[in-house]
This record gives sequence, structure tokens and C-alpha cells, in this order.
Amino acid sequence: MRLRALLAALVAWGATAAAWAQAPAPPTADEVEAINDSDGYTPAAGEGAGPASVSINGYVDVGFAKVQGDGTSFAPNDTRVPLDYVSDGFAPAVNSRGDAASTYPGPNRVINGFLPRSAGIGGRPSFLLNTMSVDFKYTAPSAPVMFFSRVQFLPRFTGENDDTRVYVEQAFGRIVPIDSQELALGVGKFDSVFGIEYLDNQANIRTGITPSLIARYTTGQSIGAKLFYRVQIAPLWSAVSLNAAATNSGNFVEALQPPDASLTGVPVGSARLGYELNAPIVQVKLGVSGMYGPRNDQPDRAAHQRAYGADVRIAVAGVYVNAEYVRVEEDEGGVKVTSIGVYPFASGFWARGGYVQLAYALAIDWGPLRRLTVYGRYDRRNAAFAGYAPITVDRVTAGLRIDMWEAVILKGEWLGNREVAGAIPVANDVITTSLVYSW
Amino acid sequence: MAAACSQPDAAPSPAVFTLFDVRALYDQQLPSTTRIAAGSSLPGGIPIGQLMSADGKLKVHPTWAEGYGAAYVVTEVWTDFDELWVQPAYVPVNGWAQGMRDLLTKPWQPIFSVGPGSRFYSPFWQIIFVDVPEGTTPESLTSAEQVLRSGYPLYPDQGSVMVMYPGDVQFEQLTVASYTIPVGDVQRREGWLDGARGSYLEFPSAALSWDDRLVIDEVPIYHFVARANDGSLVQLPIPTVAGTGPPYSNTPAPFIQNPATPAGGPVFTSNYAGYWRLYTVVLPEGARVFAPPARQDVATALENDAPDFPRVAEYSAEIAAATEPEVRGTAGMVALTPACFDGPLDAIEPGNNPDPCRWLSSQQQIERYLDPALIQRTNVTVTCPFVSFRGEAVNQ
Repeated sequence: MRLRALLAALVAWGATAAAWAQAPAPPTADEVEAINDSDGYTPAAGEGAGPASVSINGYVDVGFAKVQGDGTSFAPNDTRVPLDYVSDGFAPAVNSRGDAASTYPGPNRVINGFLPRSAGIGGRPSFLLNTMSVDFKYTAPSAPVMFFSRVQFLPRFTGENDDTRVYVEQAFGRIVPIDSQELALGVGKFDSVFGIEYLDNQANIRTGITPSLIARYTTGQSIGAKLFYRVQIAPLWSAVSLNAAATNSGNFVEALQPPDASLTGVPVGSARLGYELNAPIVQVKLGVSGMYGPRNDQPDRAAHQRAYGADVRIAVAGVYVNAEYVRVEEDEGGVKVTSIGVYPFASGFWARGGYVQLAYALAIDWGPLRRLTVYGRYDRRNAAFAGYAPITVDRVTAGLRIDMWEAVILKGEWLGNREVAGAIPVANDVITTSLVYSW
Repeated sequence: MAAACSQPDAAPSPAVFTLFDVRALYDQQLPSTTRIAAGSSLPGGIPIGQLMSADGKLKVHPTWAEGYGAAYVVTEVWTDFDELWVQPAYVPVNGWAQGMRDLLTKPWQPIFSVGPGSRFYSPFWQIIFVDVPEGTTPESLTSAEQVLRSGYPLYPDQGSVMVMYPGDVQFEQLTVASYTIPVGDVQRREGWLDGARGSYLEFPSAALSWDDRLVIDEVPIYHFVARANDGSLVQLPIPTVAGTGPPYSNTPAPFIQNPATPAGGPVFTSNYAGYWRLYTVVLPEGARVFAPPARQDVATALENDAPDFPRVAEYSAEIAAATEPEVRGTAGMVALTPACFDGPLDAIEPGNNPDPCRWLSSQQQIERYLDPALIQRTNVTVTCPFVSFRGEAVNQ
């Protein structure tokens, strides 16, 4: 009885809000997923049969960012070795790729590869061409097969020299073998299956600008094979899905584990089991994820990594709540190899953390304006390398997103980073903006 | 066989063995012959008894330093570490008094920044003095995080070798024939790590330097090996040779001779390194170990550990009649021209010039006399602070 009353209230609130907004909600990750199953910003599982088609899409993400201090999270007087074990180098992120303003440790200091890519701007305000992304999709005629690739151009200057890359972020083929089933099998390089934040990887999809503090563990692409299966339970407006993959590197971002080759010869398994309620007024999506296999930043196949996570998304009346928790453990391994470089060794490591994000979207039809979205997120992360005291950091994110026409998004965001324990407090708050043109 | 020869080298697997690890192996009732670094390029690896006995005595190893006898202990062994880094250790002071740092506690209680659970741990620390306000108690600063969060002025200073170890240890008494190598006492002190009090062994006499990437300078220490009849290499149970600087650098011997004083005191002050890279030296044909009758123990050890290595059967009558003190400075030394063993005793003194024996008792001699191909860098590095030098206990 009480539940029914609550549902009725939600329905009434939703109807009011929808009438006030007079427009559909913004295309957050939830809606993208509704269009594109659980593969993030990739084509939907049901596509493939029918006439041949080719489509080329993409976006350009231009940013402007300013980070306090020298753009890193390294305290000036800290000479502990390595410095990235006693600070969070990912905290001063400036774009949707999670690039930090800087990762340069300075002279007389040592790092060991637990760092993101660097935008190379340090503490100076700078324009950035964060990403130019080109998607190519081909659907075979009269066959349930689709091919997809995403190539990204990443102009960078490290502060000393050019570090521009052309990066094949995704390239895979997918088959839907049974017309009547939501079953898709894919082979190639594709998105993570762990958690929900990978759905937000791309700047033209992400509600805000920067990834969470746990995105480094869950949002990386990798090469391997993937299976997606979903069963609709129409009478209950519900569905249950399974997304599973065996890949070279699991779900860590490429700055931490190279996805393009297996260093151990043993694949990493990962999966997410999801439940979704797609009622007319409210959407609720729940999931649990796991990952297990050898860590792919070193050659010892006995050095394992494990991750467990849970996620929830609720969308009602223009309000979107996303929350995710993850726990990661890594065994001690051999010489450390990441996409950025070779480092002395892979240390034993554990981390736990999560975030809660709240967004409200107001649909507008006034000139070029289509939507205004305000959002906030709270992140917290606790982690330790073997032999070092744990560090705890948290972050408050606040931002505004403006959608214009159907092709331009302007976002502005502030990140308040805080070293709660273990790490030394340092000025590394971020103000960043992003102008995304989609085509 | 061809396939085996074409196998790539095994992937490097960096590992560090501390006294904690040795203690843990003994606690598992493993014998002192249990080997660490067994897969390294040091033939046979290192038995844990070479570091410490089951009852907590640090083994004293004789070595040659510029032709003179010395001795060291081994407290850590690293494999596959191309580089090792100095870590900061914070020492609170109450400013400076009469030009000297006024330590908050005497002796100091360093605040260490990393524990032995990490492979980034090393016993090589850069002392950073923390100038704390008057009234600060030792218990109020017990972690690197507290030091750095405090904002107190920091004054980087020189390095110090401090080996973390929780238990009581002693130096082993090493007696050869009737001679006991003089060693000092272990300085066991207390410090802090992440808020917890712990103990460590201090070796202030061991020299320590590093570059601008905080990488510790390593010095070669030479282990003699010989080829057995089956083609394998075996370590010879004779003293090593301690180097003075990087290979082929002709670095001067790092010690000073103290001016004589009425109060006495040590004649020499050793500044030999604390961090060493092991090099194997494959003895060429014809090289022999000096094992005169007065040191039958040297010959016996060779027979047991390296039975295929040829030994000198006969010495001149004078050498054969020599007493242990008379051969103390040469017994166990390698001669490239052992024909000198047929001559008078004073002709084989290491300091002779010319040197009829062509002894291998210093880095310079090894590099001058031997084909560089016989000198092989291993993937093993060690902490080996000197405890004795030229017949004197090294003051710890």
C-alpha cells in the first residue's frame, strides 16, 4: 500500500515535471544505452540484417582548462619513491579521457607508472583539442553482421615535445545469430563490460566532462571476444542482461594496462549481470560486475587482478541518479609495462571507491537551446600499494551542460579535489570546459 | 639442445630479500642452506645462512679491499633491480645549537617513509631534518604523512644506511685458524613507520650516494667462480674483492688514514659503499687459490665446494712452514701466476712491485689482469656494510 502510494507520487511528480519541461530528457548515458544495448556509444545489438549501410559519425571535443598548482597531485616537498604511490595522479583530470593536466614529477623525483595520460598543460590555462573522433560503421546486407571502428586523433604537447597520437579505440565485428533473441557476439576491440561508467566514455555522451576517480579501473577498452544477452520480461516492464568478455587486459584504462597485446598469454574475464525496470515514469537499472585474470601490466601470469562492483541508475522526471562502487585487488607482479612506458615492477595493490552522480535536465526550446543540465558528483577512493600507507581522496564535481541544436554541447565543470588521508594536501582543483561538435 | 640454446632469457622478475624474509624462512623450519636468488645469474644463488643464522647472528664475510683484509655483513639481496632508490627518512630537530642540529631525541628516531613490504623499500635513506617547534613531543610526529602535512621546514641532508629489522641480532664471531676478525657491535635503534614504532640496525660508516633521479650509486663486488668438469660455474668459497667505484673508473680507495693521537683510536676510517652489484669473475686456467698448510681450512673448503678446481699441491718450504699470522694477508687470495708459491714468503706480499703472483685482490688488479669477458655483471645487488677493515672493527 505504501509502495503503491509512493509510485503514484512519483508518477504525479514525473508528469508535472515533464509538463514543465515540455521536452524529452537529455541524451544521457541511460538513453544511449537504451538505444545501444550495453555497449556504450556503439551500435545497437539488433542492427545488422537488412540492406547494406555505411555510416560515418564522430565528434570534436575542444576544451579549455585551468588547474591549480603545477597541474599534478604531487606535493612540492614530497620526495618519497615512487611519488605516484603516495598521491592520486588521476585527480586533476581536465577532459573526458581522464587526462591529467600534468604528470610531470619534476627533478629528483621518481614515478612508477600509476598515472593517466597527460594533457601537458601543467598549471597554465590552455585550450585543448581533447579528441577528434571518427566512427565508421558498416552493416552487411542480408546478414546479421555489423562492423564498427572508432579512430581518435589526440593532439598533445607534453611541455617538452609533441605527443600526438592516432588511437584505434574500438574495432570489432558483431553477429546477431538469432533474429528472435537479443544475443550478440562480438570479436575485436570494444568497450568494457564492467559497471556503467564506460557508457559515458565519449565526450558527446558523458553528462559532464571528467571521469570519476574509479573510472581508471572500469572504463578501458580491450581486445577479445564479448557476448551480450538480454531477456525482456514485458509484463513486468523489466529485462535481465548479461554482458561478458574475455580480453587481453580487462577493464583498466590503457594508461595502466596495455590492451593491444596480452603480456601473459592468458585472457582476463569480466562480466556484468544487470536488471532493468523500464516503467513509463521511472527507469531503474541495477548491476553487479566482476573481473578476474592475470594483470596485463606485467608478464607473470600468476599475478592476478580481481575487481568486483555494483551499480545503480535511476531516471525519473528529468532527474538522473547514477552510483557505482568498485573494489580492486592486484597481486605483486614482474616488470611493469603500460601503454606509457616501462617501470621497475608491478606492486601489490588494492583499492575501493565509488561515486554518486545527480543530474537534472531541463528541456528548452528557445533559439538554439535544447536542454540545460545541472549535475553534481561526489567521488571517494581509498587505495594502497604494498608497503605504503593507504591514501584516501575525495572529490566534489559540479557542472552545467548546455545542449544546442542537436549537434553542439557546451559544458563547464569544477572539480574540488581533496586529499583526506595518506596523501599530502595539494592545490589541484580543476576548472574545465568542453565544447563538443557532433556530426 | 639447439632449441634450448635459442630460448630467450627469462623475463626479469625483480625481488628483494630482507632479514624479515630470512627470519620467515627460518620460522618455517627451513635450513640455513635454503637458497634465495636461486634463479639469478649468480651461480647457485645465496644460502640464507650467508645473511643470518637461525639464532639471529649476522654472518661476517671476509673480503679483500685493495689487497687488505676486510669484512662485511649482508642484510638485503635484490635480484633484477637495475636501479635502487634512496628514500626519505625524516628526523625531527629543534633548530640548531652551536652549529649542530639539536635532535628532538638522542639518539635520533627517524620517521621512515616506506616499509619492507614494498620492493621500493631499501635501507638507504636520505636524512631530511624537520625543524619542529619547541615543545613538540617525539610521539606527535610518527609518520611521513604527518611530517609533510605539518608544513615544518625540511632540510635535506646526507644519506644513512638503516636496515629495518624487528629482532635482536648480533654479529657472528668469525674465526679463521686462531684469528678472530674484529667487528663492532650492532647498533639497534628505534624509529617510526606510519605511526608504529619499530627497530632498525644502523650502519653509519657505509657510504651512500645517489644521482639526480635518486638512484643509488652501486659499486662492484667480485665473486670468483670456476668452471666445473660438467661445464657449470661454481662459486669458490674464498673471500670476495670489494671494488672502489664503477667498473674501469679507477676510483681511489675510499678510506682515510687517521692522524695518530695519544688517545689512540682507529688507524683507518672506511668509507666503502653499502650498496654493491655482484660481478662474477671466471678464473682463467692457471689461476690458483693460495691455501698454504697453515690455512688448511681454505683447501678443505675448496675441496668440498669446488672439487674440480685445481689446487696447489706443494708450496716452497718457507711458505709451507709459515704460521697463520704470516699468511693472514694472503690466504684465500687468487694468484694468476702461482709459480710464486715456490719462492720465498716475502716475495708473495700483495704490496710488492712488481707483483710476481699477480694477485687478484683489488678491483684495479681484476680489471687490469683479466679479459673483460671473464668479468660478468650479475642481476644481484646486495647491502653489504663493512664491519671490519684492515684488522680494525669498523665503528658503527
